[in-house]
Amino acid sequence: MKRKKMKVLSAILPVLFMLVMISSAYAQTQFDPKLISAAKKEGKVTLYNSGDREAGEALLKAFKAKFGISGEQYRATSNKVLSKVMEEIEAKNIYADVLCTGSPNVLRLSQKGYIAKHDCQQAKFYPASQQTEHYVNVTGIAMFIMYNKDLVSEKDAPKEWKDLINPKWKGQIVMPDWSASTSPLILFQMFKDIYDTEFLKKAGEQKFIIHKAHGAAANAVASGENAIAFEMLSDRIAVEVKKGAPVGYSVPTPVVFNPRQMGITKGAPHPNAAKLLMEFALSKEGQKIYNLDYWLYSFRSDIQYPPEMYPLDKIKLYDFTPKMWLDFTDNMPKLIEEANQYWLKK
Amino acid sequence: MTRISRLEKIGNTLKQINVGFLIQFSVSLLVLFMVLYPIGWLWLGSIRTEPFAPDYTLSWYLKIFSDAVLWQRLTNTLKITIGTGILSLIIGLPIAWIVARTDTPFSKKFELIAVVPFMTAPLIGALAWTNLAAPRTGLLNLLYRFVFDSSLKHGPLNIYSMWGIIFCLGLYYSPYVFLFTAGALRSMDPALEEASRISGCNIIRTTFKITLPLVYPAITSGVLLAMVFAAGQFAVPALLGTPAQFSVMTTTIYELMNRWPINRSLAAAIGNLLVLFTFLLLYLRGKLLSKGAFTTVTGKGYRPDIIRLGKWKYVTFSFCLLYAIVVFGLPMFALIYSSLVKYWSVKIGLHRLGFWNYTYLFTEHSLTFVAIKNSLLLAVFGATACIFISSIISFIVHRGKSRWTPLLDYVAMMPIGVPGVVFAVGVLLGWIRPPFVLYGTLGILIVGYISRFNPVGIRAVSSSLVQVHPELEESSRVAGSSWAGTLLRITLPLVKPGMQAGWMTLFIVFLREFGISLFLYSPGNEVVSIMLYEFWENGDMMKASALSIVLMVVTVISIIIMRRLTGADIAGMKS
Repeated sequence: MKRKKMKVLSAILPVLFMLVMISSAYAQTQFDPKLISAAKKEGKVTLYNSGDREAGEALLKAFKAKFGISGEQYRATSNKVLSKVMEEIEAKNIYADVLCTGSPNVLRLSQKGYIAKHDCQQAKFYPASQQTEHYVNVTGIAMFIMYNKDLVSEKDAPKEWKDLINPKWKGQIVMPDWSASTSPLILFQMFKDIYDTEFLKKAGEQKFIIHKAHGAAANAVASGENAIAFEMLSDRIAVEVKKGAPVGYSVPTPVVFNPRQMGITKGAPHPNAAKLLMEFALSKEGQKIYNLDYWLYSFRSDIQYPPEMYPLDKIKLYDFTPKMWLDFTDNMPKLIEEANQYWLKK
Repeated sequence: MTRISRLEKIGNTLKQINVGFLIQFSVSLLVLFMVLYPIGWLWLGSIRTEPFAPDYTLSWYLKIFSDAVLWQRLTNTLKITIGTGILSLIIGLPIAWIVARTDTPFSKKFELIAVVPFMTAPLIGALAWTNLAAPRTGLLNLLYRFVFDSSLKHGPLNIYSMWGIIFCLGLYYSPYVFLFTAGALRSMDPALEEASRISGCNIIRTTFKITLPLVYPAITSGVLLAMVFAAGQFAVPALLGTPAQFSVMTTTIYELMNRWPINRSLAAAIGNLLVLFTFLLLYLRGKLLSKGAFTTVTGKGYRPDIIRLGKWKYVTFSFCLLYAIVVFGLPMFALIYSSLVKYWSVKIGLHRLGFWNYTYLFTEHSLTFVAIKNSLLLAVFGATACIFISSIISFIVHRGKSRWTPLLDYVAMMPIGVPGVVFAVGVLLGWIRPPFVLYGTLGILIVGYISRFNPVGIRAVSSSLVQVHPELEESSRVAGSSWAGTLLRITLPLVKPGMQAGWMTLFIVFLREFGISLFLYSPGNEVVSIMLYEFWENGDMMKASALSIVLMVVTVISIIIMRRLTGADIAGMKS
């Protein structure tokens, strides 16, 4: 009996060993060994991120554990990331290696020739519509309505955008600053497209409580200081839920889906480490760390969402065509002025 | 003039050039450049279509006065400036009188507490007050509703308002009124007060009819200085005004510099208007100080009587105690509590307390140690370099005989009236492009800090230098000592206390500096105040509170070490 067991074991062990070797080799082949070696020589990478700092830190930590390359992060609102990069380009003193920011900032920089072309190996796992030769949409962020469950019952919670203009919520709604962050401005654009100006006016009458960034707006709702966030990014909701804060969210129709674009700065001080970080962020492993832990939707077809994440196929997305993104890019200053007219307190 | 006599003249001039002259000349040039270069760029940038474009325009200035939103922000700035002036007077004046002229118990202790706002950054103060007086979840509001009226859903306090901003600024700038007034009250001639009392006037009548009019210039000087700083404040209006859609000129400058497309020219134009306004306030202050109203405050070492308040001393004690609680006790409690909870909630209890935020800071956040290291580096090296420059300038100003000396004094002191965020715009414009590219390095922060805060060092060293009679130095020179030898053997040992006090003040100012850092930092060059701001922007108020506590601990430890080593005091407390 004992001998039989030993025979079975001696047959299984080599197979197991082979399997481990194959999977390890597979893991290595995901990333070009030459690129890894060149990146290691550079030894460092800097990520400019407009998303949640903790998500960025998690990505860089995993990247360091895998490749031994340490990463630095500059986190700010999307427009601040953009202005910082422009300053660096102007000073010819570039620190940004990889940019990861909400649409359409990387697109905007690529139009000006400030983003390097990169033949990304992982891009083949992404739909053609989610990439150009300059950048890939590394994640998608859905904009939901967030509320504090201690202040608003699930039954009463606003379900659709039009519910938010109900006068009973006057003075209780927070909104991230549309001159600092592009998401609320994209929403403003969508409202312009699908509703009449009356909706915009009535929304303005709610006397929004403005916060500089989504994080601060999310905190105001999570703490119970304010009842509702007019729009909240899915990653911010995830952060508050993880802390145990009493927050809930509604999925209105349609939902704006803002792709977070990732690209490499032209003239980046660590171009190979930048490429490797981008490959890693787009890989299945990177997507699991970066995206799913923070409720960021992945464009990869082979990603399984965690059960607590709202299924993407049940969300009716607003169709922002590439042309609309480009128009939006061109019209941003005008849109800010327009939003000021409707939404700033008189 | 023949060629030979010309050469002789040059030869004689070269003989006269010595090390001392070279040091003084080069430091003077350096300071003039460090101040005028960014300010020059501010003006140039504001009259061009874009700062680096060749086309000139006045449209940015016209826009400020024609754009309804910008005009409103301009008036908002005026409102908080005036409001802060009034509140700092209401708080600072009675405290000064109580501490300097009455027998109120523990008045010396209150004097120390009164300068606490100098030690903590306004950003931290505003952060603490959001925890205390946010309309729905502020601790004071929760307490009020629990004790008095549970039917209320929010309030009665609302820190997110113009009044909240004025309250915070008034609280944190009242020490200027207190310090100036207390100083004047202590050194005034008591003869007139005595005459008033002999004539039958009681304490209150004497105080209002005699004492206060006598120290009026000192009071006004303190109020105007508080107003100058309030007009240029960024952190407090940004934290407390944003939710209420209440913007001022400084927050508008920040907005313009960090949005797409960046509008630096408009930011520079707004900055210049703000500078004009603060310079007007400083001019008024200068006029007041130069008037003869101080003749009864001669600094001859009078010792005015201490007024015995009897049972009224309990009233004055209560007032001081209330001040101590509001300025120190409550904010500290709020910060400590906030730093120990995972997320803010109306549900309060010991079971919610823990060290998550501190653990996160020291084990997970990659920037904590980098930022503390950078802040300490900038504070130590920046303060050392700055006090060296300030000492030389101070020496030239008080000992120099050149007709250019007053100009140097004026230019070197100029940045005191330029708000931090405005000065930072000038530094950015000046040092971002060739020929002087410092952008992205710690160097730009050091240059920004030194140029802006040089006046603090000059004032500290000058206060010691004016007490040293030039005869001492002249005797040394007559005895054959060189300029450098006299400086090292005579002047420096005598002004050492002033230099140490100046160094200490600069160290604290640099450790908590925010306005300049916000515009000039780059990845890897983050300082603690930038981390604080980022936490706030990201909604991580609890982590911001934990970091504030860490910053305060680092500041206090540094002060204790420095006092042990040098026995130095903080210049701002005395000058």
